[in-house]
Amino acid sequence: MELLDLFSWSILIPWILGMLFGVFVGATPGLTATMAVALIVPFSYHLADTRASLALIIGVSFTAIFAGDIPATLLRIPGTPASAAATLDGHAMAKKGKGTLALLIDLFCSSLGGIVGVAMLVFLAPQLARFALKFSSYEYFWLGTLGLGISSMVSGGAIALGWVSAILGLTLSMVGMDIVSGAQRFTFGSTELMNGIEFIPVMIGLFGISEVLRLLSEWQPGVEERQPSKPSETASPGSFFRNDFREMFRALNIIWKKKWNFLRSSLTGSLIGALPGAGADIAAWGAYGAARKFSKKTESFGTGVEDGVVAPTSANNAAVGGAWIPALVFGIPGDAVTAIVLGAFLVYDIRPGPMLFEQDQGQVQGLFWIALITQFFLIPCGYLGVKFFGWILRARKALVIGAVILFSIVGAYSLRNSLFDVWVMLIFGVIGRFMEIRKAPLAPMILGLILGPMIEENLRTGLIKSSGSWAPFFQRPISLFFVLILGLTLVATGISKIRQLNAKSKP
Amino acid sequence: MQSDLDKSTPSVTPVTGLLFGLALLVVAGVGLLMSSKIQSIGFQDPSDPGPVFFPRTLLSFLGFGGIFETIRHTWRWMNQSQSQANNDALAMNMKYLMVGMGGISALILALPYFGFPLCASLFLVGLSTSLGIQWKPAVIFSLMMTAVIWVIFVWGLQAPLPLGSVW
Repeated sequence: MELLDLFSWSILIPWILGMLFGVFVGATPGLTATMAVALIVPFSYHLADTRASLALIIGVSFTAIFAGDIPATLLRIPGTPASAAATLDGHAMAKKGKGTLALLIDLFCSSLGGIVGVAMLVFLAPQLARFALKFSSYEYFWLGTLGLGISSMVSGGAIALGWVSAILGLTLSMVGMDIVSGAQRFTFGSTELMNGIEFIPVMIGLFGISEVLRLLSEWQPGVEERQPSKPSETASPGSFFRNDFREMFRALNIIWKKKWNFLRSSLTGSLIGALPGAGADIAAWGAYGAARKFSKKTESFGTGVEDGVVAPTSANNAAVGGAWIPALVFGIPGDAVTAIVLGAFLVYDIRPGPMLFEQDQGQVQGLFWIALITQFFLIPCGYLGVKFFGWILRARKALVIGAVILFSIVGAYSLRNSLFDVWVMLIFGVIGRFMEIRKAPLAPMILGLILGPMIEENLRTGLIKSSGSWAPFFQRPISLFFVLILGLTLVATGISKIRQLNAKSKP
Repeated sequence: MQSDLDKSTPSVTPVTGLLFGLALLVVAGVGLLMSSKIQSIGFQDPSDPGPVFFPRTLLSFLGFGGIFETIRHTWRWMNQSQSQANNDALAMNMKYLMVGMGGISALILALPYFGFPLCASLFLVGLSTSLGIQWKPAVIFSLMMTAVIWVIFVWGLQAPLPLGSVW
């Protein structure tokens, strides 16, 4: 597969259209990046050129992750789970009238982070994948716990409330059929609950409906309820692009100033993405936590700081490239999106594994080129997505509330064509609002719901393998490393909180 | 997210904390009670802690959290004036919250009978006008939004939305 061949219209058209589709699906609350890739794969089979099919699938997989950040920033509804961390500072910036700037930083960070991810894929794939292969149940258990622990500690508020939120999420993940024994747990005789609680309605409820309920509970009739916007965002259509050019340079300037945060987050994202099971969501939280730890203004995170936008958005796209490392070298997908892409590769007679690098270097190079060029195409495609959703900022809040409710209902319903999921969404909206009043973070709950089955399965498999002994969970070197990281993060966060309390109590 | 809350909601009052603690206790209590009904099917490895172990451990942690929260906020509640304790109720505009909640519930209940296009349009008109939008723009917006969602989901993504059994 030659580089120049990729620039023929027969490849470019489906590639770009696929990316626009990825922007749309990723940015629509309730529709995930996984769903975007799953929907596009059948389309790709109808294309005559295999390279066009591969470009279409790869383009969608990268774009949908970025697009999830758009509603996360503008509406505080993560388009995909990987965007949950982007709801923190991105949305806070939007509320200050810097929504366009936040999204442009996000867009460039996603593109550049994607390039770092692909570079890691190209240069470090064999070594990192070999390392990840050494993991067994014990390491996966701690990996999941570490991801959950980090999200509990960095989501803001009291650490204990973060853990309560995470444990609530884990408990919810226990609903349904037990994966090992087949026993029914907490189903209350409901057939809908036998497959467990779907995380998408829960996610929409916690992040979307709870926000709507907050707006309604604080509604003041007669007061002009427009979203905050700055002059550049309400400018006439003529000055529309000129102002955005200025904002683009500003965004690039900010990224340059935050280059070490960007690099650290992209590398963290790529490395976490390369670990099977740990997808872009854990990568984003891990990078956000690291950025917060390294920042001199730890307490300002969550209030709309640029570092808080740079970290998760560069990490989640870098993780997509990272997830490809074990997928291509060993055939182990890093996350659900990569698993679908891997399945599509098999249809096109691309057999992932070490031999692929030996026998079909041209094919591997072609895939690398497509992934790399996709990062450059992401900027215009993502920009269109940003502009489309940016209009929401200028709408009257009463109309936005109605639109968010309707999109949330349709998003929850379309998953399984079930009104049960819509009720689940509403119930979790109320729970989310109640938790917010108590100042309990919501994101650990979502992560707990996603990671629960992985943590439990690996805990039980590990115990079965060790005949009921807990020792291997603490004695194996990599497990011990994860335990130490978790312990150190807990201690460091605790010390930081005590210092904050001491500083507040001083006159 | 948390920092959003710091600005947008009042500080946590003992009533909120107490209710949160009690809610955790109820969830933990009901969960632990229900966990006794979980039964393994088929062969179980003696080293496998079983399907009850993990949820029971989690619910126990949740219960401890609930006890701590309840005791802490009961103590706070007993040591403050009545007017401070009522801050939660004062902070909320229950009228609009009830309009929203009632509207969403009615929409979900009506969807299988009257279908998405009619229910969604009526819901949007009702919500927008009750929030202060004039009826003309409310109707135009409602029809446009319903049509856009229909085109995107039903035609574009082939995701069926309910048409209603009444028609």
